[in-house]
Amino acid sequence: MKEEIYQSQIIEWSKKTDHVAGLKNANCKATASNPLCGDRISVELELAGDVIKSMACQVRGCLLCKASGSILAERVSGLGIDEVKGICSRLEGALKASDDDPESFPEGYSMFFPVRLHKSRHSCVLLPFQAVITAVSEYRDSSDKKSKRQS
Amino acid sequence: MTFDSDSAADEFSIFRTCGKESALHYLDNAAMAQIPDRVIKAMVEHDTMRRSNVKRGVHRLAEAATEAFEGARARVAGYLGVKDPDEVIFTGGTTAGINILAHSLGLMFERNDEVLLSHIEHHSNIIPWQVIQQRQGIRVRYLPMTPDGRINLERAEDLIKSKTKIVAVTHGSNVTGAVTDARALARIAHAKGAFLMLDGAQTAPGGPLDLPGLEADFYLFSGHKAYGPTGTGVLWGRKDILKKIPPALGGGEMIQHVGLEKSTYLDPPHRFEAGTPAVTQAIGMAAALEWLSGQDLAGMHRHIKRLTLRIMEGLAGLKGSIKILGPEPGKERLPLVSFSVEGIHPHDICQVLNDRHGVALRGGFHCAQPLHDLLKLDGTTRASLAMYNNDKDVDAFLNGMEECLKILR
Repeated sequence: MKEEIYQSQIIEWSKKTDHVAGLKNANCKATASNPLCGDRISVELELAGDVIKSMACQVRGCLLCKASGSILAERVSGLGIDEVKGICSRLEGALKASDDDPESFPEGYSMFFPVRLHKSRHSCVLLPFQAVITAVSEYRDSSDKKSKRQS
Repeated sequence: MTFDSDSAADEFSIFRTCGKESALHYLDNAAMAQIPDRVIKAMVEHDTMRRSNVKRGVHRLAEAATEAFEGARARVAGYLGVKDPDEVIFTGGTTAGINILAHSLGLMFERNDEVLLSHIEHHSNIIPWQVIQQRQGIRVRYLPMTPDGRINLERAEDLIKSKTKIVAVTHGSNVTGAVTDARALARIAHAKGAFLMLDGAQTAPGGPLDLPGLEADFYLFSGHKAYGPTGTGVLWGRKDILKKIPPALGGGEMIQHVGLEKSTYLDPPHRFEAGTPAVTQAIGMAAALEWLSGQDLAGMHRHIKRLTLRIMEGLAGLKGSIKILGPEPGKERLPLVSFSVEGIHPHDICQVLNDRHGVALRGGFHCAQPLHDLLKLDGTTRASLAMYNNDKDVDAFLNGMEECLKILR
């Protein structure tokens, strides 16, 4: 696999706009940012119990963050937050790994294989995951507080 | 003597070694300049011949180290154009220097006193004052920016009030490249009883200064941007003012007498240099400034100015919506060019130019987020020049930009 970051696949994913519009039934949202480069992603999720039904995201940032956000928005439907955390963890591990194995990347993310050589860009790829994890975590905290108040 | 950038580059091992393995077009000098071999040699020589703690020993090495350290102070004073080396305080860099000043001077502030900054400041000249604001209830106000990225001095008369204790601004912006008319601002500030502090991180690398001519009360810079080692810098202050300011940092080397209840302090500069200073690095910084002073400075400035103009004109000639920040071509500016390209993030530009052309740039907020927020920009890309850059560097940059626009659009 070529070591060129800006392959056509990543550029195409970064240009997708299907998931940009806000969700009608969103019940949780969050914004995550990377102070080093200024990447900022806002996500909206429709959560049904522990399962994410749909996701919208808007990225003000680099191409890698945009592409990663688009892929996540497309693939996240039907996943539980623990599964999202699992993919994030595998992706982070694959980026940090010293082995040259594109297969170590989670399904759908092998296009980010060349990014492993650029440590400063790992956070660009991982930022959408952080936003989703934060959104669900904050939603759960707020639901827990409501339940406690009611009881 | 005539200036020759290739001869200058030959003094740097990094260009003789890294440049041979793969292309290196280093245009990130506003963040950190490279270090010439002779500066490294001066530090190695000190550590192999005279390494010892300073001021506190009577043995041969201690005396030699102290002499070298104080000699470095005198050489820095010479670079700054000031007569008294005791006005030169060694710090860890501009950020450390501003923090020392803010926390020391801040001890004299009263509630509702004001500090006036500007919208184009580096975070290192915002955060220290905000910390004092939170701690002591002072007010931090800001001079606005002009459309061409300068500090709007026309607002200074209004914004400097009787409660303003210090006007602390950049001498030259690390983003817009605009240079502040220090003397004009000093006169307004002094007429209202306020001090003027200049952040000289980007102006000091340009060559020897005439601080008395700037009429400022404090001036700060970093060694690593002026061809010196990291972890070095200077806080210069007028001695009559420094003598009245209490120290914010305490420890060895800065005291006259220590009692269990109360202690007394040495005069400046030692009052503000608690603990063992970065002796070797200070000697290295002085060697760098001395080497810089020995260049054909007029020739160096002409060379860098021409390259800067080439970058600005080359960017303007590229297809695409490119916005260049700061003064327009031909107007006074530092040798740096920050720009934004509609629809392309700075880090993507930096990555493509690095990977495909060996051009080292910087992208993001450049530690000036308020400035970018005001301009509604998610960051900018910056090319910044030093004496060793040449036309090949500019060619690589412009060719890279042309290709970048094709790939990322």
